[in-house]
Amino acid sequence: MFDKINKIFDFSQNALNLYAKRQEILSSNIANADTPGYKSIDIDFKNELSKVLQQKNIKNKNILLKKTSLYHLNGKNNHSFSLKFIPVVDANQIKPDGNTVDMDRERIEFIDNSLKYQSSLIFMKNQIKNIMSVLKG
Amino acid sequence: MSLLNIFNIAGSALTAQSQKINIIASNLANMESTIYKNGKYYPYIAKTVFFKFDGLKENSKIGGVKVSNILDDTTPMPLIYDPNHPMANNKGYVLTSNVNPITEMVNNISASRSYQANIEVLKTAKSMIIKTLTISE
Repeated sequence: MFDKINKIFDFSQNALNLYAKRQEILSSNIANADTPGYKSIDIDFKNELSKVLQQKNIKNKNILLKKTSLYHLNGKNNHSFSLKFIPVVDANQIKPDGNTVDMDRERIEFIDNSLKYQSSLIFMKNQIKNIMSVLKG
Repeated sequence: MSLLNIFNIAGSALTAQSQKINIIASNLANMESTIYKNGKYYPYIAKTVFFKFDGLKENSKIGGVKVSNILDDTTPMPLIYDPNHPMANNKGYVLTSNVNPITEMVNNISASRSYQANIEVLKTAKSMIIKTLTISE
């Protein structure tokens, strides 16, 4: 039964994690807007989410192995994000110091991403409400 | 938790930008100053701040900023004809400080705007975390 409840939250949970990760990446871009040579990065949200959801089908992914020797490998499945550099639209976007952060774009994406995060949260809230109403009758 | 990392990232940017503003303030304050070194008086040399990307972990592409170093400005010191000045050479010229108030003011505005942008990032991250904590209410 609880396994079913977990499954209900699966999608929202992964989406939330990914939105939070993307928020972090965007904040890194904003923080480095004046850093010489910094290249603006981002993730392809659609691809990453489908990757995470496919990984869900592989069982026992978060079981850690006990390490008794230095030579043992990590059993943990680290999902690594494929970060991509945001392509430069026009040559005027590059500042003389090689920095490619476009502050307008980053600000808009930041707000947009935070709203999507909050909407995922509200979906989750509603799912909890549904479950509670079923439980309480 | 990636949302909490935003505090570190934006916080490092705030620190770096305020250090930059400090240096600018010092440059503007010392426009007419002299430095006594090795028994001679020299005019104050403008300092410039260099930012560097500061990854959260080893080899990570996301991270904050830090001030990598503070170097002397390499613009030549203007020579001004002022024979009555105590520091004048035998031809009547005086070396003056190479602080350019226009450059400093422009850099100051740019740094304070970046500071404000990172404050907004912090506010957004904070409200996202608060919303997450109140999910089951």
